[in-house]
Amino acid sequence: MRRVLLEFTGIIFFSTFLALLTNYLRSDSLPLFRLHSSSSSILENNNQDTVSLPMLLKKMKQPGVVIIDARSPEEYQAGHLPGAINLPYSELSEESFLVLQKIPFDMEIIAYCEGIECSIAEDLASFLKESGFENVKVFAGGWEEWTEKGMVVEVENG
Amino acid sequence: MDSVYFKKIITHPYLAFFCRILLGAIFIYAGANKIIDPEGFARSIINYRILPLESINLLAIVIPWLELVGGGFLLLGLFTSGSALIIAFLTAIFLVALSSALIRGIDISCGCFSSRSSNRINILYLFRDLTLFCFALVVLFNSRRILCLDNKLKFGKSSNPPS
Repeated sequence: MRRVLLEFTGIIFFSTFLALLTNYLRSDSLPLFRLHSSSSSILENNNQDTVSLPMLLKKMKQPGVVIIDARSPEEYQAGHLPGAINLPYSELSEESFLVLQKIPFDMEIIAYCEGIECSIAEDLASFLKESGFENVKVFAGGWEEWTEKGMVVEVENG
Repeated sequence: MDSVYFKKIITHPYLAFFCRILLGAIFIYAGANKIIDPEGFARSIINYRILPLESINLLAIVIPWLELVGGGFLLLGLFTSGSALIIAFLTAIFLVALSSALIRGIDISCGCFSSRSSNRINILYLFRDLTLFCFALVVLFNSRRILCLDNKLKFGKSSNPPS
């Protein structure tokens, strides 16, 4: 038993040493302690990358803005924000990539999912940024906030 | 009689060897993927909304190396008991986190193997982690080890390969 605990402790110390050493040496190292607080996202420019409901309503009236629903096709068909297109991040298919190809890289994209407890929209936003889209934001309140405020929804037929 | 037979299977060295190799490979893969993208792994931990934000980065830096080193030692059969305990400890933590997220209905990606995976958590992940936890216990409590560096270096008890 003592030997097991010794090995256990030794491996923890050894792993921690390697982890801290490699983190120190790498160019994209993480700070050891994250000091600022974040409500639902760890994005550095949190305030710049999320939009509130009033801001979303304003942007929906502007040209050059695409709203993307990151939820599943079934959830999207049951109801979605007006004019939103469906890009289910957990079920990306060839069709999804065809949809993406039609969106110019300089379009402003606002992604949403279920609500504050859902991170799929943030994951999709990160993916879109890595794919070359320059201006991607997340409507953090999501479908929950939209429907709670009694906003108009679109439903797919069939 | 059945329990004796069951115990015989659970403590068979070939089963422990299979569990050891499988766990080692899985956790080397999981750890390596997370080491490549520590920010992504930190994001995955935050999404579970269990831990204070200030502690996230340190965990995101250390846990992947625990997986990699623990998995590597298991594969080599070095410090096998300690490595198995590490893996059991990690899978227990993942089980608690997954269960917590499922109970609270949090819709997130698992982040188990890669932050880039879009697979949402579901109950199957719970069964998967429970299986891995059981495998780790099989390795931990099986003192008869085959093809194991511990035996060469006399770290563990001597193995008695089945005849």
